[in-house]
Amino acid sequence: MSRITNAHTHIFTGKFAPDYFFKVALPKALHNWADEIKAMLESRGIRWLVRGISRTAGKSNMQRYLNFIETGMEESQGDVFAKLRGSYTALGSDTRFIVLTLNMDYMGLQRSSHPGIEDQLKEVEELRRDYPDTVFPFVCVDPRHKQGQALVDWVAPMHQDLRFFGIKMYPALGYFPCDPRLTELYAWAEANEVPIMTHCTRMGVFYTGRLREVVPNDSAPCLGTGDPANPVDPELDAINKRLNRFMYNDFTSGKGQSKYGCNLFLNPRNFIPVLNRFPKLKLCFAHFGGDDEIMGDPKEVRTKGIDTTNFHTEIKELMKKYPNVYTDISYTLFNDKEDVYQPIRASINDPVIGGRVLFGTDYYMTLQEAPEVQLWQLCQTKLQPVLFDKIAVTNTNAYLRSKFFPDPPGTRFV
Amino acid sequence: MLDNPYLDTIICIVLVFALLSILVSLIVEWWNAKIKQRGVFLQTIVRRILRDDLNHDYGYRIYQHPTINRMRRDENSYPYYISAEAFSTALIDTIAEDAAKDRYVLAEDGKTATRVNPSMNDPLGVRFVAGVMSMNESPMKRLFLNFIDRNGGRQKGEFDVHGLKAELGRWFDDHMDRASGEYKLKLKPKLMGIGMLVAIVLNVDSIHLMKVFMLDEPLRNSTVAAAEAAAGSWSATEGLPDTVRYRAIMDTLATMPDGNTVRTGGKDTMDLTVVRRIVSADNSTAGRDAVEVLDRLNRLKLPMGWDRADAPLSWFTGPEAMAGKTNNPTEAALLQYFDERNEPGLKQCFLWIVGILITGFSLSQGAPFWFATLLKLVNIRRAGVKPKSTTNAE
Repeated sequence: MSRITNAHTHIFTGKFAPDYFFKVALPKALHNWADEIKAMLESRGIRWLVRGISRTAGKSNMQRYLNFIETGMEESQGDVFAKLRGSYTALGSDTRFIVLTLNMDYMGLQRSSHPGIEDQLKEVEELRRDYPDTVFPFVCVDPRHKQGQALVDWVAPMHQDLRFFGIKMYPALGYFPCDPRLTELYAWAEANEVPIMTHCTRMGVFYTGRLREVVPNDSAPCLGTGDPANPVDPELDAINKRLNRFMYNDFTSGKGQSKYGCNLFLNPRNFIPVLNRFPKLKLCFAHFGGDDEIMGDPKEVRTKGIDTTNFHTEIKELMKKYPNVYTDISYTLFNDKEDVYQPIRASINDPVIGGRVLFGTDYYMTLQEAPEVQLWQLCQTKLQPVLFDKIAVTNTNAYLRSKFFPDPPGTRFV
Repeated sequence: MLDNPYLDTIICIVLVFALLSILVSLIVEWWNAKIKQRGVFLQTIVRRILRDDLNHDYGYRIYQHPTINRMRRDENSYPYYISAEAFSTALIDTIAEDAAKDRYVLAEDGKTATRVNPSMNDPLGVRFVAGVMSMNESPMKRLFLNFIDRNGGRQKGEFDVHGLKAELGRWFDDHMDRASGEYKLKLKPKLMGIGMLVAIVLNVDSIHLMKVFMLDEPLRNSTVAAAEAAAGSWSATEGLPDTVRYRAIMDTLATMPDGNTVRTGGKDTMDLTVVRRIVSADNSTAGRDAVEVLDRLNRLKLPMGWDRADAPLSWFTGPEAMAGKTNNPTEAALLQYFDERNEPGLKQCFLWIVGILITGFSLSQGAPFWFATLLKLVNIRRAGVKPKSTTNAE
């Protein structure tokens, strides 16, 4: 059996999150305490306590959360990776992992003393030195960190040297994917078939500041079509209408509502101007929109008419229209309901999009739901060997293939 | 010799504060060791020194360097001390490493990718210069460039790594000198908190102590004798580390006779059985030293500690009049004061709280301050009045 590839894992630790990170979880009244809460959670005593409780027997929600927190508080990314790898090697699986880095340096505008993205990448590179044939990292980009050609100049050598194998994006942290500052990056990625992975579910971390700080105008920053005769992409109008619904609705634009406001950045339709300009871009919408979107759960932003999109349906439409649009079932796979797995199986069997559904787990975020071993075994059971092999071997190899890395299944790193 | 009961009372109070301050310092150090406070503080300072928002968090990275990482006792602690040598070695290696990035090169058959790192063979100085040159423009980069220029320049082969190492070491030591002052400042609130705790747990009411020293001459005299001995030890050990000086004082006090008090049926101030049991379980040096301090205080027969017959517990258990039980007029005056204090009342309660607060605040000043003050007061006492000539007396 060929090696499987887990296309969606994280190993960054809490040290790479800004001091104010817990604003994402705290009510507005406690935002000023976010720094203190993070410092407290990182203190030796609390770590010792969390470790002690999470290792006691039982499967309560509290223990799963503590297990998740404990992993996030690990000393280094190597420690988190050791746990991840252990979940597979224990069952004799020689799995490869796409490790997605995350740049949280701009998730708010306050000062923070955390080690930045450069240090996170450095640590991942060192890990790759130890596991060259197992760790396949993606570099996280943010147009507020580097832009235009400078961004390409930063990213390109990492790929040429086979240190990194793709690009990670997380628009919910406060930028539009159609931001013109990313145009050169998309052009380079399309030309070199470099894969991009973008977060695409309404859950997860988000930009913690006021939306106005990152969206100063009532028009979204959007790259052009490249056609001097018709420079504005027709989708921009729809994006702007959605933007205005978000910005002028108390529910989403009010203080402390950035959690909802960040749905604005996440919408897969924000990628349409990008895909219109770069139709062969290899782009993966993670999580297949989320299990809640697959089941069509009522969402407040939808019921209030602010954002009527169903991410799951939208992703499928984009996959049908653009030949290199992928999706993965990471995190979503934890939900063992047939309402979730039946549409996933149908998509994998679909002759048009079936070759572009990927296996991934979203470790260690999924520790909130179940241990890693349990999740990938659940996925294998639900999909049966043929479909599982298709998404975990064939599809992931096709996704990883680029001009820099032409033969993912055949190449061995030594 | 100036024989003034007011001065003697102050000397007695200062000795109590000094001894209790040692106890507070020991508790703070023990607690800091438990929570690895010193290591965490050092890490914060190192990261602050090397913070460079435009490049890497070099402080974070040098803690990953084997030289420093291997100093950690476990994954939950950071080293308490980093030598200038270790710091500069780790920093030079870390920056040099930035110039030597790994590359994976595909073989002709496309099946094998091998790691190569040609810069790894360059001399350390060359790699360090290349690492600095690869940094984004930032104040830290300019600082490193200046270090390089002062040690032979940026040309290949001219660069003196040992000179740079020494200079980085001096730079680190300068910061550490300032950091130790900052550490003491950071400890201040903790000293205050522990000081208050000690004042409450041992029931050390400064106002009560002062009144008892004024009324109880034998107790005052025996405590002044102990204070003089302690001041003598402090003076004799000048220039030595504080811990050595504290040890000398404890040894001196161990040779002194027990305190003397006018109260009959005197008993130990505190029952140390439980404390001894806790300390033997913890088995730390700080714990054993703390018990020794408490033992010395016990032997001074000081009016502190908790007793059902004394305020404030007597306010709840019902005071028992003691003044009428003695024929000794000096003891009667003292017991009269105790009777008044043991009666519940707003005034007594207020005075007790103020007394405890004064003690707590005083203990946060630290033992060196109180021993220096004690030495000055003892010198004043010794120099006050010339002893009368024995021949004239005859």
